[in-house]
Amino acid sequence: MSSALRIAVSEEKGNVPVTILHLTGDLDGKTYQELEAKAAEIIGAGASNLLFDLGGVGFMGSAGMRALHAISNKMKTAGPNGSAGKMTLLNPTDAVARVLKTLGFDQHFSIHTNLEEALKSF
Amino acid sequence: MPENEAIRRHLRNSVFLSAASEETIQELSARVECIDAKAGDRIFSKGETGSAIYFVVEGSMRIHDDDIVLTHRGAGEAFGEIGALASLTRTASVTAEIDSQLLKLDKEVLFDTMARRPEAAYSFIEALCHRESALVHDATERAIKAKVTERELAIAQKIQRSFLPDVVPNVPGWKLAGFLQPAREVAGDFYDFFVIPKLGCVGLVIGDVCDKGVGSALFMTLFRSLIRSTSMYRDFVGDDHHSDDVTKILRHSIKLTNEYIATTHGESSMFASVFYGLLIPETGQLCYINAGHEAPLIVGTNGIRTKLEPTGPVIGLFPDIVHEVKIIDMLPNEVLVAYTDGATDAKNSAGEQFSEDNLLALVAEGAPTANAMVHKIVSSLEAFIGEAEQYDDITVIAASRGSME
Repeated sequence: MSSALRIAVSEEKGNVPVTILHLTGDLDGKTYQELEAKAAEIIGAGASNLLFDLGGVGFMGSAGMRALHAISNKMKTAGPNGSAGKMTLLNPTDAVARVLKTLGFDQHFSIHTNLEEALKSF
Repeated sequence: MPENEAIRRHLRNSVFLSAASEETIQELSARVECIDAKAGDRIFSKGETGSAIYFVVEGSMRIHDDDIVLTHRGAGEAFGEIGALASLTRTASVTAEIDSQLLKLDKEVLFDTMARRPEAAYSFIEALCHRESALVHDATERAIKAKVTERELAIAQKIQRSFLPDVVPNVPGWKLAGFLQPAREVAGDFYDFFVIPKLGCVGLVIGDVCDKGVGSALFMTLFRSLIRSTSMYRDFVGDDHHSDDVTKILRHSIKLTNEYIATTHGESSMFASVFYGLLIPETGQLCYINAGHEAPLIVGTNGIRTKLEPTGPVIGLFPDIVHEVKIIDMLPNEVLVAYTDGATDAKNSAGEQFSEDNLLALVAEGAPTANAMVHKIVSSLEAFIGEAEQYDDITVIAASRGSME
């Protein structure tokens, strides 16, 4: 059975302000729209650096991958004056990392296992 | 709060009391309860025991089952008649959409009135018959629409079948076999076999478009057709470098398909995992690109020899990516098996997954021909799934090399 997705949002001030979305639960056909909506809301409010903390995501299906791609499309013009924003993934669980690798998403998204490093990458 | 005269007028106008006498209306108007409902107030919930019928004086009510809205009731209309007249629990929930005024007529009062005043009973029965007649009409309309949709889907299904190979190419020394079982009317999975005569090689393709149903089915036709057309209709410089040309076709085909979908349909975020192999039958050389697909297996008489792991990402999302082409030689008596995750993720009625381990064990046992291998996997899956509902498309293809006699 799938478990509901919870999204907590926090801000970190490194070199640049980074908005972190902490995801807990399953990212699947039932929940991916919640993530897309939340990300759209945050991007709409002016954020251009997003970090997705996947540490609490036990399952990610193709719908979750589509959501990440749709968000990355939005990020293309999320920076100041329509420049590109940046998104990064943090701490995928083994199961999610395997899916990211099989589908080749690890080649398109930067994936970190350490928060400090992830923040420095922005 | 409406005046007695206003209450009388509202009851007079209700279809439930249209045949009632003036005395009945007068009597009921003194016995109804006036209710002011605020926007968002729940009047009653599905499953509760019904004890009254309500008349809407002013405002609007939402008749719903959780978040599915069944209908609305506005001024002059009534609701709750089923619970008021029969010993049935409430069949739906009712919530005020805006601030509203209602008249509530209790079941006991209603029954008492009907027992003493036959014209009141007649009036209610007539109104109920009107409502039932409208329901039958709606149900008929819905059935007709469903029939049309069903027919459209049947046509779509037939057309989609034509996107799968109707005959398997005859390749000397080899056997090819394919199986596809959609979870719904139409599928997001596909497979393809085709011969490229100029190069004397055979294309083996299996793909899985994300998601299910009509959306993925439309993209399936696009992915399959682009791969086939970009492979078949291309001029070749020469035939001196056979495997070079084969490698070029693979790269060209996957690159064009990926870029076309990623740039033209990028907003849809639809993607496919695809394994595309070009086999040179005489030598057994298999050049392939695995775009994010479950690794196909090469199995010989001693079990699984190797897995053809992904050589690049899924296609349709990211333009400007390059997939590596890999080459492997298939030996006599070996079988290539490829499948979609609908096979490994298939569930039985207990909710257990068939699993990759099970599939690998089954494949490792080997089979004499491609057909036997596909049959073995499919019959094992069917036995496992049993009466459970199939929830994803299942596709299995195989290519077997003969023993070179």
